Amino acid sequence: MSIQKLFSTALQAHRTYLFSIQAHGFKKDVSRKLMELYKRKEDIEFGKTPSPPPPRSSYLEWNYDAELYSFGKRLGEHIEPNLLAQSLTQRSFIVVEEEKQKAVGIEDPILNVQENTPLVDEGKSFTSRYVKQYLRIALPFFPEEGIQSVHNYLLTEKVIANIASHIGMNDIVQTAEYPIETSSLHSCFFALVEAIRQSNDDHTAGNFVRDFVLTQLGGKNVNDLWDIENPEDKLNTIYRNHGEELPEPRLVGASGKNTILANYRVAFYNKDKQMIGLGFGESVQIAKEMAARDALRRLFRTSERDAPIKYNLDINTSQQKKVNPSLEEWNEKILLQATG
Amino acid sequence: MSAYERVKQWNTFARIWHIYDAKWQNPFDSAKVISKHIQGLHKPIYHPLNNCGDHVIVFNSRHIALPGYEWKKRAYFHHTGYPGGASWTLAWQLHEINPTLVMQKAVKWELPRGLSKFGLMARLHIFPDEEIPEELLKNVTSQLRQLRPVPRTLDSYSDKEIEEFPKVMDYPNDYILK
Repeated sequence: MSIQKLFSTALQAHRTYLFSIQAHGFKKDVSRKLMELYKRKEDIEFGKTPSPPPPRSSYLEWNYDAELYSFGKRLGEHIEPNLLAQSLTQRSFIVVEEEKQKAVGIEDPILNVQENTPLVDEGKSFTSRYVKQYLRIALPFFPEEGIQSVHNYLLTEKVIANIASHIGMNDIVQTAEYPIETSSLHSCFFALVEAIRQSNDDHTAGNFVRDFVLTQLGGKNVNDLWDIENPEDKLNTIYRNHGEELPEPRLVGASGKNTILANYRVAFYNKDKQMIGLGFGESVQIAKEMAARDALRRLFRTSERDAPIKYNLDINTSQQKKVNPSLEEWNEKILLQATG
Repeated sequence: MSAYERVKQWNTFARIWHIYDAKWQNPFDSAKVISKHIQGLHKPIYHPLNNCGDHVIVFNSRHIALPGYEWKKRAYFHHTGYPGGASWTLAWQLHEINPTLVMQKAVKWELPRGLSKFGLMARLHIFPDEEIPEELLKNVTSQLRQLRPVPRTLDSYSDKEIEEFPKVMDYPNDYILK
């Protein structure tokens, strides 16, 4: 018997951090875990973790003009080439390029591209206007406060930057920083909308916004994007506007009252004894609030049983639609007359 | 998850408390229904890994009705583990010792084998008579239908009811019953 074989158990024990070889079996998973953790630590300390890929534009065969042309074609919109180039160029890029040229000794740096700052503001205000107008037509019963909240969600940096990166703007935007920041994608997207608008008309740019921005509402619940405070008071306000009796909350169901899993079901009933909203919750108070919320979303035609928002409406951008009523002056009868 | 989605989930997974009157019911047939409710098999959201079973309160277990000769012939086997430790208790004997045990064992047999049995059986509450603790009764919001109607015994009919019962014929006054 070799020496190694003789001491193998003891060696094993040492390797697995077992202090007594009289234990039942060897804790294999302990050594495996420690080895894995050591490997991870080693990877980080010695720089073995993969670094982010270099910018695509630093590759030798990068042809920006060709990329720009095909990007425009991929969008399926006619965009003037110089406008397209301008919309995708951030101010920071121009500053860096000028400095580079000055460093080489060029007194008046020449760049055949402009920054997108003027396009951004124009595009942002157009997108904002169009989104609000579209939402007012798609959700005619939704109060103006809700329209504003949904609009604010759609125009947040996160949502817009997500759209921009998914239409392939990550590599093509000319900006000083790398990797590209969401704020750059956010402003470049609005500049792109403005470039489409200036190359064509409001209608084409509007359809572009509809197809890319408004479709982000797919699978989302507009009620979640708008938080109503004191829904019961708001429901009462609406019934006062209608000139009707205030709806009455009733306990319609309960289970496990004496347990921590208690569940109550509260419904609101109008004067005709028709149920107008149903809510649940672990206490009567919560169930009542949820019932009021449900009643409101049924009035606003945004409940689960209502049809989802249409994404194929053709909006006439020159015609300004009236602003939806606010929550305080919301009246179903007037709205029904208006919609016909 | 929004507040409304949260309470919708709460409502979907709420535990219901059922009550079942075992008077004059076959415990073995009843156990099939009760075990379904304890496991949550009657719900569309059922899944073996989904903890969605309900509670069932069974009362009047003293007044169950076993079919045929079951009271006399059904034997409950137990072994203490020691030599000669086997014992066979007949159903009527077990019922005399504890009037909830026949019902409890019937439900236990219906449940799937495995460790989940302990958790599931904790949701079954059996009471021999009509007395049920008040705090448990407060939870109840559903009643399980009895599997068969409770028959009326002869001595439950009053003299007036017997007199008014429609008759095809009556014995003549001078007829002497043997």
